[in-house]
Amino acid sequence: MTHYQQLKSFLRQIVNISDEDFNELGAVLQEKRFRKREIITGAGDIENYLYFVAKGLVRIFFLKGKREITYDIVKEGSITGSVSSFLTGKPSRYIVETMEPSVVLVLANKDLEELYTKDNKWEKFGRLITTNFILKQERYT
Amino acid sequence: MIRSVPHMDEQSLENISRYFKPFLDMNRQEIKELMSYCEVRHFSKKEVIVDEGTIDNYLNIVIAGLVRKFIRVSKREETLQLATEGHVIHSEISFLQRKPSEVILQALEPTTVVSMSYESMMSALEKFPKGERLGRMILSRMYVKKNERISIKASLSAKERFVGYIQKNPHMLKRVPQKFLASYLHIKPETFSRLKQFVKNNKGSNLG
Repeated sequence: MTHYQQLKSFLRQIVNISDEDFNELGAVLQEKRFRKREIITGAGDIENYLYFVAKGLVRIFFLKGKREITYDIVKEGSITGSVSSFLTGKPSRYIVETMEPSVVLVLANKDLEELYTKDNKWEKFGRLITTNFILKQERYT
Repeated sequence: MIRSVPHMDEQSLENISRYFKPFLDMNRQEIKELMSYCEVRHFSKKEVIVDEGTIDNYLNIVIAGLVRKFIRVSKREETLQLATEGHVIHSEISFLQRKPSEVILQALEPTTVVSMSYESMMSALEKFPKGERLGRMILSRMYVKKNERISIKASLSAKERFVGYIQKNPHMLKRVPQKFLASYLHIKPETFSRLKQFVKNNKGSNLG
């Protein structure tokens, strides 16, 4: 399975996306490779991207003094990034770092926003992805 | 619980639109149209809005009053959210997945909410032009708020959590029973009392 096929598979668990629509989305995605222990997003950075992990392992953590507190570990087949920062445009509280060499498909916020203004179907897409984020959040804290 | 059709007079519309504005800009006509998918519900103090084991059929915005969301863990109750005017509150897992709720929603004061039922929401998503976008905005805010609570719990000390919360929400000390606030902030009741005293004694000085 190619990385794009992996993403399509994942998305189809959440939203009914046609081949045509997926291609439209695919056209704005970029494939990126990261080394092991490479920081994708630093604390204080504004997260402008969402990343679909096609290969590898990504850790999301924050620093409490010198201690690293892991918030989540994301493996292949999932979306990652500092999601709150992505949604609010505020500085990230978290550090997003690879644990292994990783390959990701990257969606830029500005491209997503452009899709939203293009057609209401992308607003629905965004709503369902956001719903998925909520359902994956730590249950009861 | 008293249910009523949303008042369409200008004052009520103005009041209600105030609470939707942070999510999405809508003109008077759009708010009116949105309200046709909503109901206004009133709850008395201590009334249970959503009970454990039932499916939450509503998304709510508080327009007056205070709602507490909590879960029973062993013999204790853990307060998950305290929603005042302008806040969205519901059992989102139950609502979104149509499963029995694990949480309880209860009014701590006489409360008025603007609610949208699941069925109405499905209809609004289809027929109300800004429905999908509004839905996305509400869900985004829900995700962000929940995420904030998780990271605050893990990254700040009890004192930092207490001071941070009280500085942002000074009125809550008077409105909410101490045990619920303590639980919400993950602070032991004894520590909470001590911190309350500390803040009282240091009023006016920089609490840092």
